[in-house]
Amino acid sequence: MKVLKQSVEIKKREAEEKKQEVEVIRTTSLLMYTLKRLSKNHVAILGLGLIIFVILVAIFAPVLAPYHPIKYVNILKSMVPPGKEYPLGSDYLGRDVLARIIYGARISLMVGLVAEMVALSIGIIFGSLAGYYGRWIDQLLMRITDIIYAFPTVLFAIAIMAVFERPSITQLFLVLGFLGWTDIARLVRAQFLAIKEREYTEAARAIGAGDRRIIFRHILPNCLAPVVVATTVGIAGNILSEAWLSFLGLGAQPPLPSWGLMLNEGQTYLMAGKYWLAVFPGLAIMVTVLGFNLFGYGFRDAIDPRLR
Amino acid sequence: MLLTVENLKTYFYTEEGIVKAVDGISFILPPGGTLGIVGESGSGKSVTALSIMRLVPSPGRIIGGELLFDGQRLMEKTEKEMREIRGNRISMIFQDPMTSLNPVLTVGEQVVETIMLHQKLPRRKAWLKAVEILELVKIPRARERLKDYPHQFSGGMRQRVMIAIALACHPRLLIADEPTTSLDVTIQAQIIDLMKELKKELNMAIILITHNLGLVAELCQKVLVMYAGDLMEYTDIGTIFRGSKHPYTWGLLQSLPRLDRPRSRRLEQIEGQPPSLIKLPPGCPFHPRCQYVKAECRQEKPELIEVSSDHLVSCWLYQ
Amino acid sequence: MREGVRSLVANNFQDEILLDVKNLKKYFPITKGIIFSREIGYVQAVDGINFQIRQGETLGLVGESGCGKSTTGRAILRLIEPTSGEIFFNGQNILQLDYRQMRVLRRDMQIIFQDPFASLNPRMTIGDIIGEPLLIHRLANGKERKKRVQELLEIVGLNPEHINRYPHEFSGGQRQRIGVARALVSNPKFIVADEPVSALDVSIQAQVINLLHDLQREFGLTYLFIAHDLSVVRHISDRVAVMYLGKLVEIADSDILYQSAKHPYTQALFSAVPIPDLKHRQKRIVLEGDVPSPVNPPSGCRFHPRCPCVMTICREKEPKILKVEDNHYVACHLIKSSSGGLSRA
Repeated sequence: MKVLKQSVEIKKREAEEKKQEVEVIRTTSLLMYTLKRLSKNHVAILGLGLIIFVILVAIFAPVLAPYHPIKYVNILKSMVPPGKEYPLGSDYLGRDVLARIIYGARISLMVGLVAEMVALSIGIIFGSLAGYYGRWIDQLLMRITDIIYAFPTVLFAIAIMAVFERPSITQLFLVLGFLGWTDIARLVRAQFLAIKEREYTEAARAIGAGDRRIIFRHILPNCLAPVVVATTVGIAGNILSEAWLSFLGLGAQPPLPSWGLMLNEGQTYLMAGKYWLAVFPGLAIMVTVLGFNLFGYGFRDAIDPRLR
Repeated sequence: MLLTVENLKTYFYTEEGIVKAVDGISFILPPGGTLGIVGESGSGKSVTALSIMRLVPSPGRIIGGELLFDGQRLMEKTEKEMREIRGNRISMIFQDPMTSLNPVLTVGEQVVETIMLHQKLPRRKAWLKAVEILELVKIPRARERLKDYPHQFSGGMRQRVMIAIALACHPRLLIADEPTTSLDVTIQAQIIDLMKELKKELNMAIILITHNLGLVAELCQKVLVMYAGDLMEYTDIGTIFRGSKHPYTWGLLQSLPRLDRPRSRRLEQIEGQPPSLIKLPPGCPFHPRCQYVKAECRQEKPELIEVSSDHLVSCWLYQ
Repeated sequence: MREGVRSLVANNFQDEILLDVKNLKKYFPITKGIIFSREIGYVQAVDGINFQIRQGETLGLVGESGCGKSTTGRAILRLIEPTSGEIFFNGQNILQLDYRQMRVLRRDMQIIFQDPFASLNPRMTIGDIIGEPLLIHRLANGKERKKRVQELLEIVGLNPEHINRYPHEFSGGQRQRIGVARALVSNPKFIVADEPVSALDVSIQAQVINLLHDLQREFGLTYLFIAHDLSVVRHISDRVAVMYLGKLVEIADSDILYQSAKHPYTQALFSAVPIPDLKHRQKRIVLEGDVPSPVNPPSGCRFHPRCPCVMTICREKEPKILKVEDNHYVACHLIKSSSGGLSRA
């Protein structure tokens, strides 16, 4: 067959070319390519470093904390400024501020991550259905999204609290998760609308792929990149929200070492010069949120298709 | 000689390596002459045009060569001086008229902008000139159309508007980079005829950059064939079709399906792929695909040799 | 698994008609309003076209932007649902099939796309891309599937060892070959090639054109070749159909069409193609005006506003498609019917 002869010739030629090549071409998936670009982005590396730092602190809390954050109460040593005995000072009950901040990382991270997972699930479902099926489904889902987007967080938190009678961290997962999915839904929907029209989606239909296959195998994998960015920024936002919801008394309850609660407790003493009760929790929040934000923006730059 | 380009080299310094987009191109253009620069994607033809206008985007830089326009050395000009030349004495039109025109300004405003900038005319006079120019490019009802926005024009009309803006100041040289590639073939015929007429009327030199050898036959007197940044063949239009000497040119001409010839069963194809400009093979860039490849081709780049009067070829077959 | 090689058909086609398109129409509604949209008009992209393609044949479909050729190609495969008409594939009206039956049929009718960059999913290996039809239609599994994919990579001229690479690692011409491999893997009888070489470099176009030609001979394929480049279409097609603004204006054997086109638009179209040769100074028919938009097509014969031979009747009545000679049909009032009345193309 002429065709097969041709292809054998081409193979021979390629083998020759291979011998002349100095480098070995390693196959790279888009994921590896993205990771490579990410590793060159200083902002992202810094953000990632901060995130890993906070995660490690949270994991190794029992090892790192000098005292127990809740149980160690020493009224005699209350309101001690930062020094040898208490590295970051002690609070009004004599509890070590440093230990409380270290354990507080667990709470913040947990709220940040779990709430975001809830938001992610709801958001992806809404966004994909709206973006893929369009027309009245799109209209309906997007109007629901608009309502949720505009819904005041505090009101919802209070309502949830009424249901559960006592506020707790679990409620925060629900509040932040059920209200925080709108950005992701919109993002996913926008991606679906764009990718749906791309030729490789049409090609999938042409070979007989059904809706489910097209959604999960073709469209979703290609729209996740901006979703990752939104997720990291969402986690940062959730951590901040936890802080002020707890500050308002709608989240973590004393004696939990939530950073927000510590801010609440510490704010009264700020004027009296006992700065360490509020400043350090505040710094902790800032560092964590900054880490996630930086990584998110760095990631966004790394996946920017301008290099493709 | 209106334009002399000597050994132009434009390299791009990217993260992945140096891209030698243009690696030593030379040609001349008399006043009113037409040159066709033929090549495929990656050949360096567009970068050549941008280099002449000194509009090479970073990370690209012109790192060598001489550009002489109307007796002046373009490489020595300041940016301010270049701005007075662009749009005024050398103009350029691009492939896609939709993105080359500002969608939020009326067509009139864009034409007038050029006129006012270079000819320092007051607005009212500039507007009258704009009408003249639009009539020159055969846009019907020019006076009213000046108030329309680009999206209200069809593709062919938009290209005419681009040409109008380019010609508003009667440049001596027009560089057209794939001006008809995005147009339908009947509209392409209109635009090419228009360019032929304008060239005669305005005695303007044209550099036509294209991959379409048919267009070159219509419009150009001389042809320059580029491949991977290098000059392969440079001669006049008659010779390139009847007596070309470079294997790449042969390959191109033979691999084209032709309306003026009987249908053959198979086309004579050029094997292989265009090279990656970052990892160029040593020697002649075309050698991996050349039927006539010899040992020298793989090691050293051939010199540009004059094989007959006005016919330059860069190939080891003739050294 | 089905047979790989079909009987060689050489140059003469079996007179069996594989595809029969009758009065195909596709109108796209134009809507106004955000929440409750209503239709205010139609884009008459394809407005009643008829043609047949015989087994083993290549029918070329040409026209300029807005003529409806791409829409036609997709409508035939039901990638776009036709508004009305009948499409007979192997004698069966595919518009009456339900989703499941259509899916089975998709093994036999495939498409090659224009854009080698957009038509391959960037997150799938080419092995997955080419093997996907086998997966969907349960034609081969695991090792067998891999073997078949590698077979196809060789057939289209690519290195089978590259099966786990990603599309972005290949050049434009190679990606187009991957698209061809994907179209072939389910052993189709019919392939719609939608501008398969337009986005490729000139030196690569010949390779892909030759590949398509060789594959047709080896596997007995039938092609609908859609393109705007007349030289390419004339070369690869046995017959060529010319469309203008949703209507078929002329259809004939390739050589006859070029030498003796009867419709003024076809004549203008061919004369507008620049020839890479100096001796060939053809008289060019330059059409006035622009290609009109299919939203508000002209009355009567749609070409009349630009036609150099326009007559009064052209503005009022739409011309019917008439037979001029064997295998040559034209829709134009200049033609006095030679065999009388309507004939099928």
